[in-house]
Amino acid sequence: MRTVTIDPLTRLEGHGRIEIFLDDAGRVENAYLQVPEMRGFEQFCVGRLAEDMPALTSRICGLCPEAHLMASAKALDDLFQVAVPRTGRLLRELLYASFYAIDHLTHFYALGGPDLIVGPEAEPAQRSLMGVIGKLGAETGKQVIAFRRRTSEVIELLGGRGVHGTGAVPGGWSKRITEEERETALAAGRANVEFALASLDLFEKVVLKDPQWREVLLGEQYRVRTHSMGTVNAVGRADFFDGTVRVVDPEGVQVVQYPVREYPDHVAEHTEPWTYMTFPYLRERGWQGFTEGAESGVYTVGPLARLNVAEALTTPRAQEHFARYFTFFGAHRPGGRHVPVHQRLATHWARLIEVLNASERMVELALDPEIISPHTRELPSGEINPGGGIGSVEAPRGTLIHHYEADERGVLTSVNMIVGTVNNNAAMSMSIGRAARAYLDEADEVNDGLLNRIEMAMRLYDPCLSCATHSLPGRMPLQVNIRDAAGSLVRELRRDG
Amino acid sequence: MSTVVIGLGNTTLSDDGAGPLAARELGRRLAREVDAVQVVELGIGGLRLMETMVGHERAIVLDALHTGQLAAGTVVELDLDDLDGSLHQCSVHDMSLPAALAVGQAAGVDLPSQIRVLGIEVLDVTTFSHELSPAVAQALPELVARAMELARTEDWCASRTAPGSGHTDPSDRLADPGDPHTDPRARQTDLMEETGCA
Repeated sequence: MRTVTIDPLTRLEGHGRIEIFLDDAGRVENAYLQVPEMRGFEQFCVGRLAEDMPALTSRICGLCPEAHLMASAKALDDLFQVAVPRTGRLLRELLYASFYAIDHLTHFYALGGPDLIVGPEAEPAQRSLMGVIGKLGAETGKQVIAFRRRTSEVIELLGGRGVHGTGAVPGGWSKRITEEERETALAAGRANVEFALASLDLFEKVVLKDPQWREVLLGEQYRVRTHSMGTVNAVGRADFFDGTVRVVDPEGVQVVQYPVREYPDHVAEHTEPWTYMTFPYLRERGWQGFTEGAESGVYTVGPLARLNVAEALTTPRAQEHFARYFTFFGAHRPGGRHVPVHQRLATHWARLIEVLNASERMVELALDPEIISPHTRELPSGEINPGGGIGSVEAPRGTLIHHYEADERGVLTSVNMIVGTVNNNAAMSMSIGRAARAYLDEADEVNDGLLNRIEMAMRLYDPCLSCATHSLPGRMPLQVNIRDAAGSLVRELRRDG
Repeated sequence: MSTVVIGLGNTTLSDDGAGPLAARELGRRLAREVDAVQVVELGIGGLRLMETMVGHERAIVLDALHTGQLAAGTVVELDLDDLDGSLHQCSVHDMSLPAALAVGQAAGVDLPSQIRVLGIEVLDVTTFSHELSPAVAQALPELVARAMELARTEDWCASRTAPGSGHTDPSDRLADPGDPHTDPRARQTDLMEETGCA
């Protein structure tokens, strides 16, 4: 057996490694993502005061502190049995929509987009934002940086600090905003809508109108048929901030829809001896292995899945693109939910539609007169929910759940978190396997461009391995080992990270 | 002269918190004597790190260093073009610090003319704890002192290497004279240009 190892992944948070196992005939047999993990965050939290969790959990990862902040705040609302006043909710969602927009947009221009814009075979250094600037001009770089700066400013004015924002308290938000700050958020939201639309135009130009990309986008190389999971509001529209969790099968038939409190009844975690990362699966189906189809327990979360479970989106411009997206894939189904899209590369498109959706939400929220009301929070009564506190949001990478149990003093007795990347664990391995079979089996030689096409199967999920595994972030050179049937190293490829 | 001091790392992951902890201490001490220094704790590098420097004339970055080659607690100054082992200068979610600086430059943002990176060799960055390893805790005052020295020094160009450094002398390295990739003198010239000291 020959083993191809891609270690570690470039351009992904945290340290990961792809293992591709070939059979004696040299064809791809299986592919898995391996992640060295540190466990123990949950134990680190036990014995602490529950109200410290938003600050503590938002430090797990430098990348998406706001997602943890919000899931944690909602878990505390539940734990302390306190209802958030409308203004508190608006402020929380404004911060969250801002974060969502910045996170997704950065992924497109710095990580996912370069493969599409500059090309998957380009030199690694060119498959970057600098490569995008080289191809499209400095103005694009200016626009991306300007987007990030104005959106970070909104996050900062709401949260107090840029990276590890504060403000989340059980029962709402600790800080009100002024009329002037509301205007700042409104201007940022409006500018973001424009750039999101321009980015979707760019996607149309470089991908949808390019015959080669069209073929890949509609082809089998990146197609994996699984269940989809995402959060929807009361009328079935995708809502990244709040709602109930819906799961549909690969044909789009609803399997279940539940309030997040019931997640243990629907999601279980499978373990494999070769990785510390668990594989969540649907209890309704059971763990059937790394298999596709309606009988399998494997599901996907994230942009692709969120669009798959929704009847529509919450904002008008994003809704137009949502309809165009499903029409492109021939998946448009009038009068109901569309047929799910399983071409994983479409995740980049779905992500840009979500940037537009989040930007439009920024505008809507900033225009709400109640957002400047001083009534930003309710004080908890002191009663602890004996059933614990459970909160969730759609993190950019997928459904994120925080689950706390505490004693009558509010001291934590257990903590469980299911993060977006872990939800996608099985689907990621299957996508890598699909791409490896499509590209490696046909290849005469293994080169960097080819390995990049396999890595793209993973990069599209925007996995945050740091968060998924509580591993350390860092960047090292990419190392690829190819071993023969006896396990001896026959070829070693390296490239700088 | 406006200077930003950025402590990089995660204070819940043992030695990973060395950068932010040193920055915090520096902030406490500098508050009494230097006006134009801003201290920031940051959990991620790359674009975000570059953006944190915007609007300042000088930047000092404090980061956990994991080379495996140095004794834990060793404090070194890193070259901008050789940040190997610096745990947080890069966000693997977007790019390295040098790449982010190039993006910032292309985007025309107001970046510092001088940047210095100080690293402290760490032992454990995988255990959830607010405590540093003894060797790193013992060396933290040195990291603070080195950063203080830089923050207080008006003219960095006059002394490239801060006092107490035994690890950044480029003449220690083997090199092909004149080759910018391997000749440290040639690299240093590049760096001086990059950091405004040409």
